[in-house]
Amino acid sequence: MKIVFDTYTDDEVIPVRDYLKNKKLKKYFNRETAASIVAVGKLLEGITIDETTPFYFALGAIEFNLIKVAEDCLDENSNFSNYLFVNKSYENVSPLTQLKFLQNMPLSFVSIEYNLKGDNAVIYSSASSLLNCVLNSDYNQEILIGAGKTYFNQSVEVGFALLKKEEIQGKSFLQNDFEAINLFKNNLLVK
Amino acid sequence: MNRIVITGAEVVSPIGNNLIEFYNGLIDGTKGISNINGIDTSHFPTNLGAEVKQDEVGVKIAPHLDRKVVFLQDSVINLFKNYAWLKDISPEKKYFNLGAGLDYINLAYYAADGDRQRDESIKHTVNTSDEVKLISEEYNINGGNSVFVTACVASSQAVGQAYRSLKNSNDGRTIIAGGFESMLNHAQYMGFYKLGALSSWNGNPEDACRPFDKDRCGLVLGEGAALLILQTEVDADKSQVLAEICGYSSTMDSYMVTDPLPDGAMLAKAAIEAIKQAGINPDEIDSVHLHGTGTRKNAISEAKTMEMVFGERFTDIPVFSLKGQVGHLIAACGAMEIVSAIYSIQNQLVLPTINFETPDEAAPLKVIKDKPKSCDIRYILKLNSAFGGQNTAIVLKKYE
Repeated sequence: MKIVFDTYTDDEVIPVRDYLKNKKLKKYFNRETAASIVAVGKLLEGITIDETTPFYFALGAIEFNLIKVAEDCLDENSNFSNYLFVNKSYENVSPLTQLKFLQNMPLSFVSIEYNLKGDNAVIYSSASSLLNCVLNSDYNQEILIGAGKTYFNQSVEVGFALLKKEEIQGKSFLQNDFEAINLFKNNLLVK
Repeated sequence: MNRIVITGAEVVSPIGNNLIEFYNGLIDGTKGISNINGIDTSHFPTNLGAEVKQDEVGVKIAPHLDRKVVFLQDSVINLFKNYAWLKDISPEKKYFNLGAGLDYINLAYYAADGDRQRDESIKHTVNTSDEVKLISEEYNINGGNSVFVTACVASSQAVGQAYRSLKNSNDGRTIIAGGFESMLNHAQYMGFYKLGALSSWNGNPEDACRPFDKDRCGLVLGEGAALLILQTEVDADKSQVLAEICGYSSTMDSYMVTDPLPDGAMLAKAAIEAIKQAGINPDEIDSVHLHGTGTRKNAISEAKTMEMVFGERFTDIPVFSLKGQVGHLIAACGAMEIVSAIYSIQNQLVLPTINFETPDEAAPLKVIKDKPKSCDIRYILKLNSAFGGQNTAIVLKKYE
């Protein structure tokens, strides 16, 4: 089983340009997506995987950082103003911002960059749910799984693995719904 | 291999707050889209939405609550009331597989709260996964929870994964599968507006989502929840069976995050795989319930998918989209649309697609209009696609 786990502090530059074939996509990325592209690039170094490879990804619990949006929608009495929310907060928000919040975007951009067209799912948080997608899969080939977590301060962790069903059958953590990123952070897949 | 059946359903929707009301809304052609009432949309550039209603107006919910979680709670209450036998199933054999949208943040309270650091953000955010756990504890659903967040295919993946889980199991499990969603809040509604996907309709609000119509001009966000009870046929009370699920597949376009693959090829691949899994050939599909969002590109792409799957016959197969009535429920759309497919199977008719009036030559589909069409329906193909390029196909069968 090949595994990659990467972590980036809040001010660390994620070297996604080194891995991205289509550089124009970068403007759509949040840090978790960028880190995912890099991690999958490392995982697939020297390997060719079939476009039908199933891909399941688990997102960490969201920690919204909307400080700028929030500050721009307060009036002089520090009360929320619908008018300022629309005309100041969101006036300054890029149309691409929604793409940085949608939970399926790391999986989507990895699939675009690495030409993955097969079975897929995005799970919220749970390690056991992620691994059950593997066990229930109709496919007996190698499967790509991944997990990510973005913290409030914009530090980010991602982990990816290529594995087969039999490599996780019977593992005790299948009953445990802790955040999926911990599978990679604590190296549980090989224990 | 196990046969998988649907033995119960419940819905909270813009056209009805329980299954019976929803079914009545379907057959009456009730239009659920209007100007939003449930949240303050003053100064919004547009305020069309398909809200869950109380006394015919969009329901107002306390702003610290996540609307979609409230709808999930209501649908679970109805499910356990109307299918009381669920309480007799042992807790470790009951599972939740649910599709859900983004966590809700109470932006107004967060903004006004104070120093807006991490703790305040979390305090004003409703974590969807945690809410599902709370409901599970309340209703003794202890077998496991899975929350799928794959945007517009989240709930169809939840149902599809439940189908797979049951196919592979012999432990008598029962899975409550479905979805819940509301993007009718400040942050998410305006975020979607910024994407440029919302309907630009200037006429009567209830006509704003027009699947496959020549004058279609975008989607309208909807809200609600839909739940299905899935069991193996062996474990089910046969008298309760509403329909059978006999095929599921999911693919990815690997194209663009904002647009569907123009030739619809990967949605077609999902459809063909699901049909093959059902042990039938495409000629045996009697009706297709499409994703049908009301955007310009979706109709053309889905028409190409239909042609790839069905060949020349694609213009003869009656199709349907629910979104003209209930809007686009994003994470919950698949599950709610499966319930409308169940209605079609049970009543042997294809419903008219509401707000479809003028055919588009670029999307030459057989869209039923004005009144339901009676036909022999044994198999329905349900298709959905997501921003980001994920696709799902589910084959539903009349139970025999």
